[in-house]
Amino acid sequence: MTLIHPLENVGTAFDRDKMLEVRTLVRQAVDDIAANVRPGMVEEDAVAMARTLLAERGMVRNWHDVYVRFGTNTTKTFGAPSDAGVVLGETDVFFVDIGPVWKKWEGDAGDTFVVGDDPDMRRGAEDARTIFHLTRQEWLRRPASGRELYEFAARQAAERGWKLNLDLSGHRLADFPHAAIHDGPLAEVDFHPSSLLWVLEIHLLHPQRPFGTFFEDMLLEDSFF
Amino acid sequence: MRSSAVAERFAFRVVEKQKVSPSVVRLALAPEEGRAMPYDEGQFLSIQLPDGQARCYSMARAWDADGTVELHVRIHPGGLFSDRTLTKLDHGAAVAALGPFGGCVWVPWDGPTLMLAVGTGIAPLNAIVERLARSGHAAPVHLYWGVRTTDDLYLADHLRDLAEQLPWFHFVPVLEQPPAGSAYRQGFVQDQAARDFPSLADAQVYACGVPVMVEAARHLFVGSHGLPADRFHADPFSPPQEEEAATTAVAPLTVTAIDGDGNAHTLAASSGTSLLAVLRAAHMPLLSVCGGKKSCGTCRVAIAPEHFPRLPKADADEARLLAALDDPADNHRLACQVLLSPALDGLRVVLPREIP
Repeated sequence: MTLIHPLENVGTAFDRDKMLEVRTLVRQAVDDIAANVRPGMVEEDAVAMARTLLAERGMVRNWHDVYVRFGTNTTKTFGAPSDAGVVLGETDVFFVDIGPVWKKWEGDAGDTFVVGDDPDMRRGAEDARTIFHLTRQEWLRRPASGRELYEFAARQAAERGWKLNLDLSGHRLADFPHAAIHDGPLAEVDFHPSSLLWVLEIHLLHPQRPFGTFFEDMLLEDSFF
Repeated sequence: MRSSAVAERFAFRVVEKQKVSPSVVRLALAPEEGRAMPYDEGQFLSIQLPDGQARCYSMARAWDADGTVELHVRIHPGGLFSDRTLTKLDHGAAVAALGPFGGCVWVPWDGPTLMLAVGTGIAPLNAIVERLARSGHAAPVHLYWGVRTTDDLYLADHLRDLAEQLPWFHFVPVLEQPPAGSAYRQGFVQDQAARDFPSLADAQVYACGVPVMVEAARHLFVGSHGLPADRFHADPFSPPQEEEAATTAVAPLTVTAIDGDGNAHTLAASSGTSLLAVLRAAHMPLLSVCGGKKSCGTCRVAIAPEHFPRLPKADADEARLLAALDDPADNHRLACQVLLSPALDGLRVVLPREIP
């Protein structure tokens, strides 16, 4: 008999295949939202566009708010309101962070997009993805706890000259709502997290310049990427 | 419309900085190289700070062809613009801004117009009144301005002058702490205006300032005074300089919550707080997974049918979400989106039987 940690419980509607189906839907939605964003756009209009796109795909309900963060607002931590009226520049950075509920199952996906040719921004977007995968490899390589995984991620960020925002440090995902089971961060979990039940978030902040980059996806084996 | 649809970046230079009250500085900015930012009165701009942060301020005067803009900046401890940057700006200092933003601009209207401001929320409304004064406007405009004390009435002389010159313009200062024996109105601006105008069916309303006042006014006027919802004009942004004025819009009231077992709980509440906050503070069994962002639907409640007409209509996002939830009903609302106001005193709500 395999013992399940209480923080890894699921609801009655939990379905592995459905969780993966939602993952595909939300990752595609992130890319499609980003494809509609243009320099000169005001952030509030991008958020409204994202909400509409998700609603058209049957994802009216979101377990967390829809975030499209432009420019300096990319430094804001999860839940913090954006400064109003930020317009995407010709050389700029933005990220999409969505947490839709599709039917009974939760999804969560985020990624960063760069317009123009700012080398720091391009490197930041790439480093967020790289650190996500390095941390995920560490999770596959040894039975590290959530806390150890984020210590590893913070070291990786520092080595590349970034600050890892530990206010955005992973969480559960399940049939809706996972918050009824566990609403805390993965970075405070002292056991080895299981596949398909957790989201790994990487939010990097530039040490001097006012921008950040973000990537998140489920903790899954290599075959899913 | 004078402004273009797309905001642009503009360079300004500080030409005047004056402390006009213990807590407000008036800043005049002139455009660089003659490139002015065209705007419509009621709009705001976003000051771009050297460290990349941004802060929004409304233009306080009617548009002038020389392109000078005037901003009213509240000074408060820890305020990003006011403390770290504003104090370093002096005559000739360069300021970068994006703008203009905002749709809370004058809509031609032949009936009466009520304008409500708290604190530096007076700035965009002063701009609109000045513009009307130049354009031969004739329909009545009643401006209510809420501040703490007489020290905060930094624009009162100007507004009184306008009221003397313009037969259609009426100015009513409302103080939280009026001097003893004075004739000043006391209380909340929205309550004072509501007292003067029992019916607003033929009116339009502008509200600028602290969000808690704006929402309380929207609920009061649309819910109880017959104001059509599309004639309530306010911008969604909340200028950081007005946070401290939040207490000026608070009034006590009660809400009755019926739990899943049918038990009634009478809860004390304040105007300006959300129904969700009141229910959660009383440990009523109700989730709020998204944290009050009208995203998850877990705080859905049923409003007593006889009380439902008192509430303003749900906005498009809330209505879309309510319609997508299981077993929708006409009297459902998201508790996070119901802002309590004196008009909702005694509201009765039914909580869900089952919590997910």
